[in-house]
Amino acid sequence: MTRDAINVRQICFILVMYNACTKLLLYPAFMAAQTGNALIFPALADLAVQTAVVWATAYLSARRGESFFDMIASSLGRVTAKVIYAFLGAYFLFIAIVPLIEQQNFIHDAFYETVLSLGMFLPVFAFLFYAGLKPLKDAGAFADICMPVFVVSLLAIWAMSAGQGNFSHFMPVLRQPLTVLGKGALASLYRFSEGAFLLVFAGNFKYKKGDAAKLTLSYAAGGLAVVITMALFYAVYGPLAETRTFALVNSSVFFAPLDYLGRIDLFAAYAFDLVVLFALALHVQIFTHCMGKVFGRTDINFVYSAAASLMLLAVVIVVRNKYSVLQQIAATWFFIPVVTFSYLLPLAAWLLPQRKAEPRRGDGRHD
Amino acid sequence: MTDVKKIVKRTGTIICALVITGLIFLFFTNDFGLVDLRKTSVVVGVGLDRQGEELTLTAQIALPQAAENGEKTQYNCVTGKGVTVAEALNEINVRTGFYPKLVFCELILLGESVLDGNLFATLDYFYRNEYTGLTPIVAACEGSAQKVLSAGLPLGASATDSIMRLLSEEAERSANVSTVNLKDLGEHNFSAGAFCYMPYISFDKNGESKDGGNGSSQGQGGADGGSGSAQGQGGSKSTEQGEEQGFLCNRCALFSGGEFVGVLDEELTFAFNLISGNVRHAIMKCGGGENVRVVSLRDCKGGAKLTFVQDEPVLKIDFSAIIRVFDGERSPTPRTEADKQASQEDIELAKKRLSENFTGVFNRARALGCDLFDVRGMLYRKYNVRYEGMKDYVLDMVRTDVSLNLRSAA
Repeated sequence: MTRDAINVRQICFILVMYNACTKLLLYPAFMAAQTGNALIFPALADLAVQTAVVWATAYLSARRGESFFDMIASSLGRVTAKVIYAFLGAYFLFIAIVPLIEQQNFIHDAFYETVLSLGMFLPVFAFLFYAGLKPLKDAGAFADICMPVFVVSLLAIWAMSAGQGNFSHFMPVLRQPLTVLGKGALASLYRFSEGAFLLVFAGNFKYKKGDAAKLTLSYAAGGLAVVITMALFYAVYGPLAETRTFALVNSSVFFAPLDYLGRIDLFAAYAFDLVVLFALALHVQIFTHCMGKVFGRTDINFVYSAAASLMLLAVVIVVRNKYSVLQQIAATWFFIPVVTFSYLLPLAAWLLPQRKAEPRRGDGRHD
Repeated sequence: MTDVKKIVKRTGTIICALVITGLIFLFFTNDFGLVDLRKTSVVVGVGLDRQGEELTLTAQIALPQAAENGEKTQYNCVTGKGVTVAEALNEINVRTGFYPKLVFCELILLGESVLDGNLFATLDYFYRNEYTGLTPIVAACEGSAQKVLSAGLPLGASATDSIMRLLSEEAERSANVSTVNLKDLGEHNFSAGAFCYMPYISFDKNGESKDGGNGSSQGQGGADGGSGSAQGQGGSKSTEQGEEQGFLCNRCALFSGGEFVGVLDEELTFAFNLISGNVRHAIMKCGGGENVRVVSLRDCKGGAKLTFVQDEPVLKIDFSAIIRVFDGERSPTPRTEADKQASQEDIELAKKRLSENFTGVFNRARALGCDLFDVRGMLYRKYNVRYEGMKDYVLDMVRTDVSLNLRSAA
């Protein structure tokens, strides 16, 4: 147990909502374009595999009771642990790129009618920098705040969408060739990367019996929320689903009372979008945490956080008008790092021999 | 001193958190993108006409005005021209200084000239524009959309308002109009059936619009209106010249693969609406001569589904309703509840007319090459294994089987 401990409940919240919210911006329309009315099946396949990884990681955390850094350090040495953590930190920034660009596009396209300057998006980086200064414990507190917002906003969107759908759009069921479904699952695999989060949380929470099941079920619940939203979105739009970029603001638009009340559904979308912001902040927080381990200093967290925010800003500047290119690259190549860090690395952690001695102290405030 | 520091630190954190929350909220709710209302315009409806390659977009814009007795809205029409909708909208911006925002656009009216080309090439802008959504109602009209939008119509403060009343959900529930929005159009067209339909607005023989070019009208929302008749939705107005100007929304334009193929008449449109729409209460005339009846149909439930009988495709059209006699040409008797009940003869007359019209609407659409009942779509969804082999000729070989269940009101 470390002094940077997070409550298991908070990790469950993170797995439910951050899992869902980063996938609900462009993912439904992307899958509709890839696999048509079978969009939920590749998503379910990806979810099932990653849920297994989450369970394996949660169970490993329970058995070992030590941080991933300590697991590596005790068996492969501290230098190896630092190198792996450096890559892991970079990986968390890497997997934030797609949701960050999607977040930017979502705000610009859904909330603003005219094309905005990049400057309008800069406050997000200020927030990311601020959040990066906070330790992992605060990420748990953020999760506590965000969870009710997430639940209420998603339920509101579901309630407004459910009556507008035509579920015959899903017929015929599974008539697409398996290759199409397989390609769809592979192209979206990079979005299911939560196994790596649990690696970082390992040893940072007090494990009690049954917590592995809670964590796994939380992750599965978040994934099912994604699948339900995708199903509602496709039921509403059918063959037009791929033309509606953002499921969140489009699914509920035909809810009859909105004709009289105006777009009150956008309040739910705003609230949901705030949760996405905290989900992005978690990537920066984890980067800072990893760098603290690598350099053994947490008193210069502002440097790590500033570096992370600036790197993300640089990426946004470079790719902000090339999203379709980024999406194509992500769908084709991003599965390689994601499989490495979010699938193989958690499973490889099982191969690390259990340490015999107490870990060394003084590797930063998170120890 | 330590306490003071603690208080300052704590208060500072709270203030910082509140400021950040406030800024984030403002940012996400577009309040940083404050819009000067005087430099924008609220477009409530657009009309599209085509002259050769050039598209003319007529935007009916609402201009809120301060008035002594509450807010008064003035409606003006502005036009822009271009090869596409986007270019025409930009021209409006260039010519008027207004940037037309379509987020409140309720109606897209297509002039007759637009129907010649591919519908979805013309409407592409609306399908790409995420902010507008696919909620605007789409209708075609006889003649020029610009003339219709510029005309002052009697049932609302503006032409858009009048047409929206006639195409309202209430009108749809009385089976008089076939209201569709952009989503319905796209959904139908991009399904296996590749069909779509929309209300067709026509002027009656005395109702040719005399106005041309831009026009304006003003009013104070909430004008009385909404009327229906056994023959459908319509409205009329006496112009300043004392000439009757009227229009009807009770016909239906059909499209196949995005191309306009023809118009269903009032009777067939009514029959189609009974089957496809969410009809609550419809009025229908049946019989003829001495036996003419006007009956009401309540609790209507209609639908069409494709089945196979010995490998032969059959379109089974089901319709059920509670029937009640409204009036007829029988000699008057003292009115009792029993008089309003439909006799077996009334029911048979109604059944005869409905059966003829249900078959008629299918045959008419088939003759025009429009898969109005989505036979190919049903084949694709329900009998997918047969789809590839039959998709090209299923519409020609399918026969209809009409099943009616009309019950007299108790």
